[in-house]
Amino acid sequence: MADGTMDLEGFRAEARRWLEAHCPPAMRTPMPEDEVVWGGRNPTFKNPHAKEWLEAMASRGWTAPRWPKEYGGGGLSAQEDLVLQSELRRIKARPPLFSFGLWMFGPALLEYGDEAQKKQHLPKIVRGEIRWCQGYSEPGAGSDLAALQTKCEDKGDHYLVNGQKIWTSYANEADWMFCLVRTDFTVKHEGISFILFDMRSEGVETRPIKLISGSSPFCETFLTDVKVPKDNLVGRLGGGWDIAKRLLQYERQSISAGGFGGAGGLTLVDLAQAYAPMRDGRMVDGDLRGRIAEQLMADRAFSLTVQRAAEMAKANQGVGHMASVFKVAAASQNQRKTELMLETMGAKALGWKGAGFKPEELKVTRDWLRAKGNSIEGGTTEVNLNVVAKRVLGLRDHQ
Amino acid sequence: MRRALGLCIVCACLAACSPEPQEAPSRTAREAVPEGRWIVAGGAGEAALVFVPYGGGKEIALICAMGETPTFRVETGDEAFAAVPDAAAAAILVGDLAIEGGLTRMATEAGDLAQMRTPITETLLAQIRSAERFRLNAGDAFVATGAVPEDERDAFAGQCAALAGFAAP
Repeated sequence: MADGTMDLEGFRAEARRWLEAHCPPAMRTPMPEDEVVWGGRNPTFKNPHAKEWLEAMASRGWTAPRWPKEYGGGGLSAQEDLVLQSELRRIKARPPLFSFGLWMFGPALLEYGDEAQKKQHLPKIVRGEIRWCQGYSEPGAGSDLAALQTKCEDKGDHYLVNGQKIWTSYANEADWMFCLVRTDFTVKHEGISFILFDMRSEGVETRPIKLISGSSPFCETFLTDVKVPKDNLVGRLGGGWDIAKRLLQYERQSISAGGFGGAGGLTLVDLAQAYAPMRDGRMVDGDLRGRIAEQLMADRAFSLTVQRAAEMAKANQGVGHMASVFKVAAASQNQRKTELMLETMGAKALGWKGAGFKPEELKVTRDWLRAKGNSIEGGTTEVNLNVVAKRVLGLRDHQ
Repeated sequence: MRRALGLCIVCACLAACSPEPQEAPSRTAREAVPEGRWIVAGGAGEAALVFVPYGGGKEIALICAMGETPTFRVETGDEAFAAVPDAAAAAILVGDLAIEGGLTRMATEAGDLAQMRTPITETLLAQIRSAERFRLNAGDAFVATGAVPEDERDAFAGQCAALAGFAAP
């Protein structure tokens, strides 16, 4: 077929047939959070059909549709990839595999790795056999990542790594880590290298960071005299920052949506209608009704203010330190809202787990607990109030 | 969900607006994870830059199409605009260039879509190449991209220019 369009239609027909034959009906339903498949050496498949689905997709290389076939990928062109995605969407297929290897490390390895490293790692990522985690942030190197201090010494036939990583998502469940280390302390960015190691290596210890909401993917990872084969250096010695920057580009790939009536999920109004005693279509508790109305108005005012600020920023009328005002307002508003949700639900908001509560009820409880972190993460309320005092209000430091 | 969305809006604003990240941190205290990937593809009189989410869910496509009047359109799932009246004012934002128009809705095999179209101009092409972020507003609702990688923007803008008969921006 000389016509590219015909080729593409042929591919669509073939993909459609194959997906109809290989995507189990159970994998065409919305995916509960606990049925997500992360793969790894000890994978868990809460839904047995998820294993079948992963194996089928991996056999075609369609867990990584654009990666070259020689590394286990699907070898698809961009157009074919889009066709495949639209066919997957058409049958509402679940993603067969969630994987930092697919999303972050694999694309970087394709670009910077040597042939042996690609052959060793990429096919296992495609098949979901190895689960990767990212060792970037350190207790003193989060926002300023290039300040990282994890030491990597050349010991002749291997590297020796000592240091600590933090906020390493799922490190306690990962099989391998891609990691930024310092191989030269005399220069900043040029002293950083990118290495890989097996999490079973002697000297690697992970500790989960527990959050009040009961669920947290975060860990601390301690590295004590960890021996890393020299073959596990990706790119050149001191060339890790280039790879890190590339990976950070992948991190930023996102979209967001917002507005009123836009996004589903339980709103205060939904909860009030479902749980609060009503008479003649009105909430009986006048005080709670008033506070819910107040919250809804505040939410709307805040959203419009943020929207206006974003438009001003786009028109080059920078809002600068007003960002701190927004952060403080968003945190307190969300905390107030989750409190109101709990109050509206009454005893139904007391659940932690168990059959007596619906999943959405349990989620409201955990969201309330999770919201406690809003005034800490992304700059604490205290730090932001200092910024507002100094930069927005022009107040002086306490003498 | 609404909590996450609220914080999302604030994070986007922090990232976009804060000139001094050391005083107004723009990064939450965690390792960020990408939500999806961008695909640039061309063929059959169209060029597309599509965000494919890894975990399913929200999606957005920027599409240039040949025709008597070559058009640029932004297309996304209709759920974000479900509560927006049909006659509501809409706008495509390509970086700081705002183009006003109307929202169109349509049913497809893969679900309900909302889109807005505008003719391709040289100004628009230059803006597509240089703008990092794209957005579709309608009424009180919006869908916005995070930063689109430069390579993908370049490739897409080049394909759009070729389709519309303009010099590459």
